[in-house]
Amino acid sequence: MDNFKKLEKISNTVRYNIIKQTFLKKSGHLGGSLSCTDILVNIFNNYVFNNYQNKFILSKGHCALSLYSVLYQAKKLSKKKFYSFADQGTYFGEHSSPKIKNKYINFSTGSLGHGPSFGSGIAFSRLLKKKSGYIFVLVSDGEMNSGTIWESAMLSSKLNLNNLIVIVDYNKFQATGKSDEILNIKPLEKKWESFGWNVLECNGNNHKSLSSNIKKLIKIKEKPKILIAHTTKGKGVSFMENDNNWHYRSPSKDEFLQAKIELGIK
Amino acid sequence: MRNFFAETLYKEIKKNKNIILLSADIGNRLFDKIKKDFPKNFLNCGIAEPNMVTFAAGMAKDGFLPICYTITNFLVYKSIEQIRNDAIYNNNKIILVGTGSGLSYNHLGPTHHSLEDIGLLNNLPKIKIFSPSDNNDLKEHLRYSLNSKNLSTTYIRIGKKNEPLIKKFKSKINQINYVTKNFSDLVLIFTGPLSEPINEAHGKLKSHKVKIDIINLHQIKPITKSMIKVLAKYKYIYTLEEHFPSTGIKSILSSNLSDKKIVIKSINNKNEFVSRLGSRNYVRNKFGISGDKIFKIIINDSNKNWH
Repeated sequence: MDNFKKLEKISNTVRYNIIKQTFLKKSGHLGGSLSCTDILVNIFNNYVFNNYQNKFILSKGHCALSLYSVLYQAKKLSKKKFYSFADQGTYFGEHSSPKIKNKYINFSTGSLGHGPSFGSGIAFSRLLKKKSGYIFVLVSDGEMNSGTIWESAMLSSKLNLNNLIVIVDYNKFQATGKSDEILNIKPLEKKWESFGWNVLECNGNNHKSLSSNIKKLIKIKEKPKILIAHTTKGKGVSFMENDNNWHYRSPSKDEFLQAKIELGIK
Repeated sequence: MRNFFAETLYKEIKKNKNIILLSADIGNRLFDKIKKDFPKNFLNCGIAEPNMVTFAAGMAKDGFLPICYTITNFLVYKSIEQIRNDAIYNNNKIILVGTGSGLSYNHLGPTHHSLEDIGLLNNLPKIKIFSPSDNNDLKEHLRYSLNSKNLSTTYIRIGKKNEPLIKKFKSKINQINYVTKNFSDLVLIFTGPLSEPINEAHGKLKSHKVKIDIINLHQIKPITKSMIKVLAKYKYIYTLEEHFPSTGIKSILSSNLSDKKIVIKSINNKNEFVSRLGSRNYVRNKFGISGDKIFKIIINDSNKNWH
């Protein structure tokens, strides 16, 4: 099996576990967790699990379930902890908690627009200390609405943070509708370019496209980098894809079993 | 106070290169010496306070000791969520230094006055709040905040310039600091650089043979058990602050002493923006702070046998 096939298989398992949790616990942001699954799987498996100097920051904190599921699949999070999701008294809520002691969970978010500022602080610190490693920050397209995203975009480009890689999970929806209609976020790539960033676009639900574009970004030595990853909200399950009702809905038993079949889980 | 802050910080950076001063485009020339001798320990983050605070939290996560410096109202009001979530909740220690606090920017108007910052930050868990009355206090607060053993985010609410030194004992963390101790039932408790009206009132009260203690409440959060023990001895507490009493030290002392039979009264009792502008003293007066007002309120209560 080549690397991409392996990653695809991991993605399916991660998606299945996300959906299972939302079915069992009747809790979780499903649509956005599924759209960013491949991005998380790709970055963690290619860059984070094998190099402790690379750090990942989840800015779209409402999709922490996706992060838990990636860590669980990789055996970096115990079954007991993973299945405590949304239970009484758990630290594994819909947003991660600083009480969780796990070296892959660096920042507890929930309010949008904070991740890039935080990641840029770490990235700048690394440059000052001449430490290696990349800081990956995953943001949603909805987060482009936040002023702090652009405050941080200007500071990061002034500081030439070439060790900072922001990835936009551009699934075209936010909580109540299409992200291109709620605010004028287009043209996203030109906006970031004009802020002094290296910009690449890719298919964020395709491991080959993700891998090759992240590799390209890492090779660039100047300026901070952003990958606009075009994704599908609810990716992986036909009746959830591009249906924004699944932004915050849990599946019935029939829907869960149907999803299981579509993901090829036995 | 801000000049002294810059001088003290210069010495601290000299000793500890992990300290980094972040400014939101303020302090023109103030930090020239730091910028010249330690260029890596200063960064102007632009007029983008929320980003500065979260950026600082990120630097703290990686081992730096960041200080966020700008005018109090911008630092606190614009960035309250970043202070709460990214510094305090996520356990990333940063030091917030708000300059020009209270009514220091008298001529700049209510957008630049900070009369709510103590209340807002006091509401947050774990943070430590210091309000120096003079440079000696500030030195102690900085020393404590920069100490690596203290893991809390701290807020230091400083004035602007030419604040006189107060004759008092050295202020210590977690302890009550007396300016005057006469073993009276009455105490006047103030916070911040208010020595002028305090001294004026004290002189007048003395000449009218009113015995009163005076306390400089330089540490506002936490109010420790030993501090409460000292305060619980009084029957009458008067408070004075460049802050709305509804959420300032008046309110904080009231809630900490609610189970004691103490009458607590605020000298400054206005809860409105100060819109008519003028000199610092004029604006203080409009807000209800003057030596004369302190004297009159206390002497009236005395004459009514209130005490």
